[in-house]
Amino acid sequence: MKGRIKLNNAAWLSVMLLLMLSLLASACSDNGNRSAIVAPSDSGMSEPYAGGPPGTIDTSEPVTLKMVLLGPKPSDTDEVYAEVNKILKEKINATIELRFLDWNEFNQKYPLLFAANEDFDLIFTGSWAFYQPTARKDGFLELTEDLIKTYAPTTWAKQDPLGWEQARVDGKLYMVPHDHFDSGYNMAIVRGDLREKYNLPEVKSQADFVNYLSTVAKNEKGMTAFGGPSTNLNGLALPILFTDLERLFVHGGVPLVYDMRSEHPKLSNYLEDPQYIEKLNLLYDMARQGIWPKDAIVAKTDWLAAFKEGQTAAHSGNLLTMTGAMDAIMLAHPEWKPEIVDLAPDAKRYRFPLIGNGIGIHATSKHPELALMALDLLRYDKELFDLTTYGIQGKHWEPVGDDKYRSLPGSTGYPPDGACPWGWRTPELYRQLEGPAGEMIQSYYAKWKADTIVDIKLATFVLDDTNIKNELAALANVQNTYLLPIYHGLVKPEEGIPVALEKLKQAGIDKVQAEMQKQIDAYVQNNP
Amino acid sequence: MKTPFLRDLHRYKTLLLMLLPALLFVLLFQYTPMLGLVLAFKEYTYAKGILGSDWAGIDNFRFFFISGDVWRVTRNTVLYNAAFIVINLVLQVGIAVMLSEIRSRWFKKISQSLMFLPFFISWVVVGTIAYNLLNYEHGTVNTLFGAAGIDPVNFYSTPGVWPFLLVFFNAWKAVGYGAVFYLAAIMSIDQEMFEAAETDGANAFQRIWYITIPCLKPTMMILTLLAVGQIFRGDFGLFFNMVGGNGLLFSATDVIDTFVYRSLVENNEIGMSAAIDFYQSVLCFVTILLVNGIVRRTDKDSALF
Repeated sequence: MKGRIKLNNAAWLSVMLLLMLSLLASACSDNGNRSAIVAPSDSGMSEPYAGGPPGTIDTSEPVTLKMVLLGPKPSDTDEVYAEVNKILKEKINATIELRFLDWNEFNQKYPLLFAANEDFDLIFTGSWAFYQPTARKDGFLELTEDLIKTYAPTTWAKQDPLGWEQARVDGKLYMVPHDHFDSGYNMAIVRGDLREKYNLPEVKSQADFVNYLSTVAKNEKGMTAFGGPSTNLNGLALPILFTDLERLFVHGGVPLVYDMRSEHPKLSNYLEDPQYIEKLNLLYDMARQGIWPKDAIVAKTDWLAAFKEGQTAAHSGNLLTMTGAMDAIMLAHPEWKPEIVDLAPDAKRYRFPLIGNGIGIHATSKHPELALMALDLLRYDKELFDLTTYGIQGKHWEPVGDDKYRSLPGSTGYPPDGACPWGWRTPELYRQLEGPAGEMIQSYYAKWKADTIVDIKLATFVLDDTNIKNELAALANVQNTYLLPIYHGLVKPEEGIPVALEKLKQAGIDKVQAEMQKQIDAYVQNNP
Repeated sequence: MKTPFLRDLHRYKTLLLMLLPALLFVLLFQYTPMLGLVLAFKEYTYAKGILGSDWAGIDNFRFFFISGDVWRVTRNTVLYNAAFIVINLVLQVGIAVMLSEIRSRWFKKISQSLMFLPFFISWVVVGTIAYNLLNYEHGTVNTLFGAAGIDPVNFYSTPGVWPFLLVFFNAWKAVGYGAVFYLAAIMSIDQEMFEAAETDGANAFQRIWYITIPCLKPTMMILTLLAVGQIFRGDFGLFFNMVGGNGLLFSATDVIDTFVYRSLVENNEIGMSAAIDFYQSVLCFVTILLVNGIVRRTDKDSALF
């Protein structure tokens, strides 16, 4: 008995020791690998990657490429990617293995994937999805012109050069941006049946919209008129009411804006602008009228879902989301007569930067050339593009002509555009939804392209935050503490704004404004 | 021949071997990560790693101090933790004592399980429960108030009620779990003492006051000292899920951890978060040394070290 205990203890001990040693060993070798691979790109040499000579990559060994995408994983994803992999296997002897970061873990886990140097090759990125911070911390492989030309030649030939310009961070490229026109933010959707019930005119302006909401709030007990402003502040908390002012942010964490039409943008604090104060007063009024719940600032409600279920009378967001909601309602409750409206039809809209969506390659990927080849195929191979974007033909969707599609009932298992194929969206292969929703998107795009879109001066401007990191962090905090409650109508603007201004000053907004303006001035001078 | 140390090593080898896993665990997961504190003084990049990144001096700490709320969040953190420690201690000991006095086995088991249950509910869920209880339009509490003819209270814009709410929810979640420690301690008290007291004519209250409580004192001391060692760390799950982004309440609810989250969630600066962790660690370290020193002076046996 005694002997057995001893043995067990000894076994325990050796297991623990082994575990410890292996952990230490792996940590060391990890660091070693990382520096060995990345070192060349640090020194800024023109050939950061020592691959084989151009075009002669050896594909005799089958390779598995690991790709990280965002959002929930649709249930039929594995089935779809089995088809994708059959094609990829044949063309470049590679297969793709997917990993999805769901929205609730995305903010925490995305940076950790890089910090822990996890094993993956391709990853979705974008200006809103850690592109610049990750690039600055050398998380992505630098993509040189040679690398792209050699391994993704179609991409190099067809990609709008504007995308490359926008993707440069300190002069270097770290992502392949998508290549599709996008500008649909700030649209509203309302219920036609409620509008008719109270004899209201068609909603064509912000005033109509507010009127519609207050009528609903007054008369429809048991229904929430509107979900209200967002629950955290990055940019504006309710952008739809500010579209007509035609201003843009350089950084959403600071209330500094500039005129989107300006040739030489000058930043100003919107809390000192009477037009903005008027809007904030309007929001205060709306809150008084009970248009959104008193504690919407802490609500955990999914307001889009609430609207689709008939719990709220309106919603706002980007055009594609609104048309999606319209489509869903037309199927379930056509009697609600959903109407999508542009509340500021005369206002200019800006062309979204192409780096909103894109794909980056991990700095320590073992197969960067192959990853680029696979990306090139995803972007321009019609079969692969259709598969990854819309799913399996005949099960999830069916084509209507060459550039449209119709969703099939099976599409709940793989919703169109639902499995994060946004990083390789290209204009030639992207199909439009058939039917009223699709036509609406087309007509809005056509109208905007004809006379609304402006190409902003700062389209390729990237803020270098090295000198103002601390201030930006402090300001983001002040904004959320003192400004967000004003949006929700919890604090009277005339009382809250002076406090917010005072706190912003304390947190260094003047320094940030000076630094940003300096960089903008330099940019304008270099890009006349 | 053998030194006393080696002799002891040989004599207690079984016990020491049993201690080894715990020791290795602490070394691996507590001491090794401490090296990471250098991050507080670095400008971290993925490629250069923890040791290779450039030094940033004390630049990572600046954002915390320029916003002018350092005092407020530090004070809130300490006061909330102090309240949690005191109130949880009183409730946990009280409940453990009461449970130990109950004779009915099944009643004891059931009430203990029911009190233990909240411990397993995550703060995310508790936050949602609280919202459904407290929100202005449809919250249970306000609906009851309405039915009783009392004016509804807008909890989410009244900072004054939150210290009580937070202490309540924290206690609700922690008390059942903590009571188990004390119940175990009570079980290990020598039963003969109780029997002797009973023979001498002590009533239930006297037994509790003169035997149970004094015997629990070492356990209370240790658990309290351990809690005091964390007094500058706000429970992020609790504060974030209960209060969220509601700036109106921050004067009464903002703790260091939520403050840092709000500042850094968008910009992903690992060095800056490490800097605040460093700040908290240093303060906690100083506090625990201080408190332990005081305890050692007054009652040497109860001190941690």
